[in-house]
Amino acid sequence: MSLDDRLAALRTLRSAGGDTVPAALGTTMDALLERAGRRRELSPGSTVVGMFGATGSGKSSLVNALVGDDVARTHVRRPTTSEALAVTWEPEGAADLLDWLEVRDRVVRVDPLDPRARQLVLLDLPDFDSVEAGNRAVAERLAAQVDALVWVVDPQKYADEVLHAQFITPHARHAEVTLIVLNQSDLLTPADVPRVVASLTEIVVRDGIPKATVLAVSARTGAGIDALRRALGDLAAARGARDARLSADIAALADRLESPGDVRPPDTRARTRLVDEIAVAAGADVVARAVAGSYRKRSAQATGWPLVSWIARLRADPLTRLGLGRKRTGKAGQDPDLHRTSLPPANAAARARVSIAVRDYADTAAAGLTETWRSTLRSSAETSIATLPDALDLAIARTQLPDRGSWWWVLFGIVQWVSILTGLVGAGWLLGAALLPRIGLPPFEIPVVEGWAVPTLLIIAAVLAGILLGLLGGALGAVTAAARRRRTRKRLVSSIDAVVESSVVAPIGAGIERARAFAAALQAARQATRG
Amino acid sequence: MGVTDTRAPAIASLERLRASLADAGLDLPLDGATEHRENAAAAVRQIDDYIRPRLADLDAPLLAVVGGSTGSGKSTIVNAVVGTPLSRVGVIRPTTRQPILVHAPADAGWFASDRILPGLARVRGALSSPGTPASAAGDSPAASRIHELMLLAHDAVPASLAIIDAPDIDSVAADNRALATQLLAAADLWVFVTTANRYADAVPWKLLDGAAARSITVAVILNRVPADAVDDVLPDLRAMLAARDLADAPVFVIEEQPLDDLGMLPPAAVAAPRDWLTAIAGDRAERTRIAARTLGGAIEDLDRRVGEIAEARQAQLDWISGVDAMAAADYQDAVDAVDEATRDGALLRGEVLARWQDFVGTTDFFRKIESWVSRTRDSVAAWIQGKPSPVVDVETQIETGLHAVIVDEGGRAAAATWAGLQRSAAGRTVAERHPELARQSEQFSDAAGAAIRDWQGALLQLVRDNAGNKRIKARVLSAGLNVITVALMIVVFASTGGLTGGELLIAGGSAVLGQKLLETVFGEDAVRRLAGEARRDLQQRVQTLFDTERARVTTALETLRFGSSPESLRRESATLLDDVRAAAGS
Repeated sequence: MSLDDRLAALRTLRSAGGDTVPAALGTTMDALLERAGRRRELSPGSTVVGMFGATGSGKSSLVNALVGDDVARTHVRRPTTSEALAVTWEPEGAADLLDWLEVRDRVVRVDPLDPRARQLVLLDLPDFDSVEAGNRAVAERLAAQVDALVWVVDPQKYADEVLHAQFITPHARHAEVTLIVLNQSDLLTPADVPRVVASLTEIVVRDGIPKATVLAVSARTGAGIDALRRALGDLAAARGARDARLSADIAALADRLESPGDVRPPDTRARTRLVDEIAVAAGADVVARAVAGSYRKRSAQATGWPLVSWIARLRADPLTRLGLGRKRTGKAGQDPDLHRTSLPPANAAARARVSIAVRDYADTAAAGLTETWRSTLRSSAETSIATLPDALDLAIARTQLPDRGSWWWVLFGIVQWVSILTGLVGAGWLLGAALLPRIGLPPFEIPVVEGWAVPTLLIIAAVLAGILLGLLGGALGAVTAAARRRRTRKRLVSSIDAVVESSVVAPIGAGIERARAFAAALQAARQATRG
Repeated sequence: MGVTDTRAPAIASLERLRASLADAGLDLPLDGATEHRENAAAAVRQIDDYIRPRLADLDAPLLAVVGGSTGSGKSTIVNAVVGTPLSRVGVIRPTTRQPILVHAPADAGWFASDRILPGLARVRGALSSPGTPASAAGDSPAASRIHELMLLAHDAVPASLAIIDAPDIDSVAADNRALATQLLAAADLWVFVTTANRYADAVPWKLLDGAAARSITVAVILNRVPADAVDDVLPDLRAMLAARDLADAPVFVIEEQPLDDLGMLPPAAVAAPRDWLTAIAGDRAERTRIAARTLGGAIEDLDRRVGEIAEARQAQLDWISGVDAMAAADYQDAVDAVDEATRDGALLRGEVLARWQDFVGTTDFFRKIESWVSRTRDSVAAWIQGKPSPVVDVETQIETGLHAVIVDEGGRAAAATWAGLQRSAAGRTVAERHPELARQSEQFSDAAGAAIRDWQGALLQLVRDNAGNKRIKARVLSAGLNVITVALMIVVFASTGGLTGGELLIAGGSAVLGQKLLETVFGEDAVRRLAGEARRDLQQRVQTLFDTERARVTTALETLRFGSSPESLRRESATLLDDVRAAAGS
């Protein structure tokens, strides 16, 4: 895995992590991204090697021995070195790098300590364990910036807690660019050297570097110095130290990040349940029932027996009572949005039901995630809950309801009026037959069919037709109303579904997606730097 | 060894303080809590290891602890002072694990008991046979033996002064560091060993700062000094000591020199420190002075520590109160939200009022007829089909609506408190121990349902109780008890709060009908009173419901309050100081 991939993973971790990453770690991530960017701009061929160690372990003496000249100040008074010193062999290009490292003391030598290490930058650094806190600050800063770390220890101090717990262990991921050097081996008897090396190796393995190798050297006698030069030459020749170091930084940082837990795919059943519950709470059934009721009422008005159907007119239209219905489109250009604002705010119980359903959905979606991620999903759910009831009302107000009349109403109406007229004709006929003789006009003959007077038959037929039509219209109306109710509910549920999708399911899905991206990037970033 | 009467009150005060410190109650991971916990444990240990025995007897033999960094040569120096290999030396770090106490044979009785360092088991060691090299002396450094104190009697040790060879103070072995700190806290005087390589290390100087603060008598041995470096290093070290109020401390220099065949330094190299120790041991007055000074310093240091621990304890209690207050606010919000939802008709809007309207109709004459017609039809239909009557339907609507509001607010309050807990490390540990706090309790929904039904029952009773005279009773019966109760609910939920003001505002037109109906039955004033009573009853029940929910948080926090109070810690420490001063003055 290349450094670029790893940096991409780090960027994903930063962006997808958001608030779930503690602020301090977020700052560290930003700093690392910045540092990686800067280091990659500067002198890519150079390899910066820092010599870190306790006071009195002989870092400066070792630098002098490596360079073969007295470049670094050595003294018995502790602590000796309080400023970093750089030794370079090719000053071109290294200057910017050293400026970035804030190393002001620079020495240039001609003969490289290893033929392959012309572009080596060797840093002699202050100690990290003396009473001078400033020294430790310099060492800590440069331990984060150099390409390769050389831990210099001596027989007295090789087991110090400061060295192991506070420096080597946090850099356990950097094994690839780490060298451990036991200096002052001349203070031990030849027989003791391998024993101390074994003991030191054991401690370093416990620090988290399983394949640690320890070089025993003596700056005073020169023992082991050539081996150390070769090791530094290997590092410089591989030219990978810079990237390996940054990769290890990313891996070490990823180790400190909390995994988001078990990211599960979205639960479609939970989504269906959510939409169902919200549809009920938002009153889809109530509106559907009102549409059906409104249809039945108007159908009765239009198709009922005109002599009684006027009573239906007095009943309130259930749709109008809900603030929906035909009236809203009555005036030209009336926008449902504006219309909506005149509706009262949603019923408190409906709000509560919506809020319970959304919270349940968020909790189901967050199952398996760690508490940190769960709470981001929860707060996203709370945002949805705040806006959802109004959005739902608007969606219902905007839904085109099947509230138009039916074509057969007119037909029924005409027939009803025709039958009324027929009845009137019959009544007029009878009335005429009864009244005309009184005012001296000749009565006209009333035909009789099968013993029934035709006008009477007309009246009976009209009344029967009116009632039958009314019953038929009622039956047809009931069937159509039921169909309308189902259609309304379907349309409303689909409108509600769209709202739920955009204001609940999508944001929570995005949260889950972020967790998934975070988990994937974390795994990528944590991969071992080699192998 | 008897305790003199003047010291008895001081010892009693010490026991009280020790008990309080042992129960300091610093479990929450607040900032610095780990250090404070360790501090409290160290204070208890120091009382057991040093303060109590020394307070009981100032004349007991002095304990000199030889301490210092890993690899500084502590064991080599102890071996040289005694003149025989007692303690194993070597190049593998850390060397000494099991602490060795070497004393004059006459003093054996003082150390065999649990008088000092009661936490360490006693092992009586035997001297290595003559001629054993120092690298093989004593026991092999087994980590398991770190809690054993090896006692060795040797003639070369002056009477009334025992020497402990302590483990190192700065190696990777955490047990070593802890034991070294414990032993240094139990010492009357310190022999501090450092080297030319090490004398500027930060860790030992931190300990020496502590020693200076406690006015312990300190001697410094600068070991392994290259012969040509003495003139550079020694003044530097003296200057550092002077800068830390330790200018009086004697400094003994031992040059880097080859060890003999047995791994021993020549006796002459340690003559000066040995003479210094022997001189102290031989002077009874000086011994008592050193013991009293160190004891006084230790008790003053203890008082300073107790102050810090009391502050930490206070911080814990404050945090708990803060979380409790936060939960109280969250649940109060829930109670307020339910109150909000049950006024101004918020709960009635839409469906409930529509059904109520279906039931009672409106003032419109024709609607009244229509409503009468439909009511009659509905009753007939209900009678035939066994459906609930519309008024029961309204009641059910109100009931389920109110239930949803309460359950939602319960969930919201639990989530808010949970989110509050997640904001701090201490809160997260509480949350981890009580995962059930993440949501409302399982029985909350049932409890809310029961509370609502109880309230409805109470309303029914209220109506019955107020139908005192026959006339009203007859009116109630004619309208139907159910109808009156539901009308009362409608009035309660339609009215604004602050009924005490007497103004009963009505949200929705048809709710007026409910009020009109009630007013015809009971009279205007009685309706206002009834509605007020019903609302207060509901508020009371909701409050109780949420108080029970909130009690889960309070109970979860309660166990964390266990422990001594900051005031008693401070008071007991002050009493101890007074008692010790009184004992010293008498």
